[in-house]
Amino acid sequence: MKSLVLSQWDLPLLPTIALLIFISLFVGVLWWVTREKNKSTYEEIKFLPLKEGNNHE
Amino acid sequence: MTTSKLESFRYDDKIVKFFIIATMVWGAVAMLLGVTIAFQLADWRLNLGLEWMTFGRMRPLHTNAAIFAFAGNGIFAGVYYSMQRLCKARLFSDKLSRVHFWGWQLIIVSAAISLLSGATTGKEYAELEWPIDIAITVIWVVFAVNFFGTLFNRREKHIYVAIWFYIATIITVAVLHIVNSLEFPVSFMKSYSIYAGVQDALVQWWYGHNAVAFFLTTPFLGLMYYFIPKAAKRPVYSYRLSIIHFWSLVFIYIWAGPHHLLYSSLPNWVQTLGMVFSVALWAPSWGGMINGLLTLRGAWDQVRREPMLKFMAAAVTFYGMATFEGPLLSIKSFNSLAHYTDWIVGHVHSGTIGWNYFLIAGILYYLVPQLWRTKIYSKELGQMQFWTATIGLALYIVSMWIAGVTQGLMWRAVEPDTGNLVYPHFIETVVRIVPMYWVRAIGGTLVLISFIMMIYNLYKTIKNAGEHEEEVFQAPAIEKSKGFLFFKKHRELEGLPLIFTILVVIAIGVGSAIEIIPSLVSTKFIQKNEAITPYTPLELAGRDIYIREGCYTCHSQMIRPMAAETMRYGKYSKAAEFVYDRPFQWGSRRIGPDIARVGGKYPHMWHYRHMWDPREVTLDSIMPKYPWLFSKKTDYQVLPKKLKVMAALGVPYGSEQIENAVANAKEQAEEIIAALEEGGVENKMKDKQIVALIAYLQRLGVEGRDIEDESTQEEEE
Repeated sequence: MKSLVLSQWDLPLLPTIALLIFISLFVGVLWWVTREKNKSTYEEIKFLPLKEGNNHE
Repeated sequence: MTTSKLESFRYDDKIVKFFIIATMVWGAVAMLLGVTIAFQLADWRLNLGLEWMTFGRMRPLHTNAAIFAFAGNGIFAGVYYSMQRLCKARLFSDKLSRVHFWGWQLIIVSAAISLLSGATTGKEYAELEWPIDIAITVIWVVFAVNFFGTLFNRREKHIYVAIWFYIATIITVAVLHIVNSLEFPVSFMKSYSIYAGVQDALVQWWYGHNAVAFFLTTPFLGLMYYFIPKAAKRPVYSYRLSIIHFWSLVFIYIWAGPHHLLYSSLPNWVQTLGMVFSVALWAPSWGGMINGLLTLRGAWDQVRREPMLKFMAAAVTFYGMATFEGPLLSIKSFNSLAHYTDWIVGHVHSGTIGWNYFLIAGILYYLVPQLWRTKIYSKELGQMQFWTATIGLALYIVSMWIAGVTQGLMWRAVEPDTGNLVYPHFIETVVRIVPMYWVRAIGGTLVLISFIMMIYNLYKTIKNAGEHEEEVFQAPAIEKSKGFLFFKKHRELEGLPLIFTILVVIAIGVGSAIEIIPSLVSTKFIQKNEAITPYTPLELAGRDIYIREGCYTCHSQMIRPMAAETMRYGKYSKAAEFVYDRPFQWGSRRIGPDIARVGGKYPHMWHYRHMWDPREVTLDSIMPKYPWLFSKKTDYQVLPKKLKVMAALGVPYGSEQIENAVANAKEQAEEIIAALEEGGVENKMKDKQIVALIAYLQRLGVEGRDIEDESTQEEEE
């Protein structure tokens, strides 16, 4: 089994670096979006499509 | 950031109307082409014996029309409408908008003419030749300047998530198009890729898959995040989830390209990486899908009544289904069955019809009444369109599932007692699925009819609309800051587009660099072998005819290392065999058999008769006839130039070979015609294109039969 896995993974360094970058990025984004501080901003932004500017004519 | 007094402005909705009309026109053309080629597969006689009507030339036109003409114009309509409103600003430049519109339409017309006339690079979804590639780049830059200019002039401090998706689209499509289209011109409409063989395959499918990702997915997700809340009159379910969706999708998608090349000569680690990231795509794709559907919470009664919302809800559902199926098909063991079969074709259409067409339909049903200040002509007709399209699509997908699984299983079926193939003749597996081709053609026709219903409905809506004034809107301006570049008083969030763009470039750059650069710069993965020699001038001429006729749309040139494949086609393909292939011609679908080792398998006369009428050698063949190859002459005079360009790209042609290219080609043609004369072919045929094509076909896989696989050698050592 081990040799089967390794035969498909003949250059482990770069993919491992890639996975670490992805996990760091994912955890970072997760932390950022769940910050309590950002909640009110997101609540404001989510309504943007429903506002087109004030139509005065 | 401080705000100042209210400013009045108008939106440029005229350009949105232009793109809407273009979307309807090209959508009908793309679907008509699709239906035509579907019927051609069901009955080969519908190729009509005309060179510009053959499946090999029409199929690239269908895919290009569906992706770049139909979906492209739909994207631009939606982006220009939503950008202005999300930024509370008119588009940056009316002139650039017009250049963008007319330039894009000109590109589409040029693409249609060139593809039907046989001018093609032979790389799927990137078939357009170098002058059109340059035009695409210029027009894309025009779009980008107009887009980022609008973003810079915005009166809204926040950048809504839809705009994030648009930014990712603009940046990534530019990178993909430029890198994959690097080619060396031979003449006005002929070029050779700077990449060869395995490297070309890797770059091409990095492009090909991400054309799906960043042309047919990210812009549509941006449109989804804008238009579903608009149509349902409620905000997106979770803005937080949309941010996680965006970053995960942008980072992961770029890695998935190699899943198109599983079990090929691509290095194993790249294949595995492509598979792992494809499976990982499940999470962000479904996160986005759930976010889209939950935005409709509490509005399901409207979904029942409004065709607009019905199309949007169905589009998001099909997005979910397609993005479930995609990762599944990327799993190596699963892919070994489904690859090269119609299952992939069904999967692609569940995305382009179910997701792209349906979302565009939903958006058009929203936009047309809004822009022309009227009501939709007939909601009943919209409902009828929805169900016609849905039934048509269901017939399409199910027939392709059945055809794909049937053919995949037949290819690999082995007699338990003897170990021989149960269906050794490829044609047996074709005949079995032809009934499904009829079902697919009927399904496709229903989809086309549904689209025509929409055109009629929207035409009547527009016609019934009265004259109206352009609306004036007001929003507070964002105060301009003083200073220069980084030294100026920073306008806090105004800097975000730049920072954001850099982050996107990093996100797509990591995956691209790690997957592609090692294979481009290292000789470890693709070792040259002395047994493999460059094509002779006549073989090269034949190869260009093979590319011109789009043979790769039906025949692969890649034997996978599986028992059923090596029994059927011969020794599996190795990376070293393709080092002179510019472009690579591995293909993605086997409507006919693999021909990687067809060289020497049959006599010249077999090929001669096969190209004249395939039924002469294979009774039930569905391949078209190629009579023009027997009347058109081979262009010998261009051969020295072709060899010279190839030499400049690194192919070891000496100056003597280049000088003597014409004489060498004619000499080889004499040898072939001598053999054909024994079968009654006249000597005067020696200059015809059929002879050059035979030279190429008889060369395929011959030299590679006896070379050793370097990786196998290493393991044995």
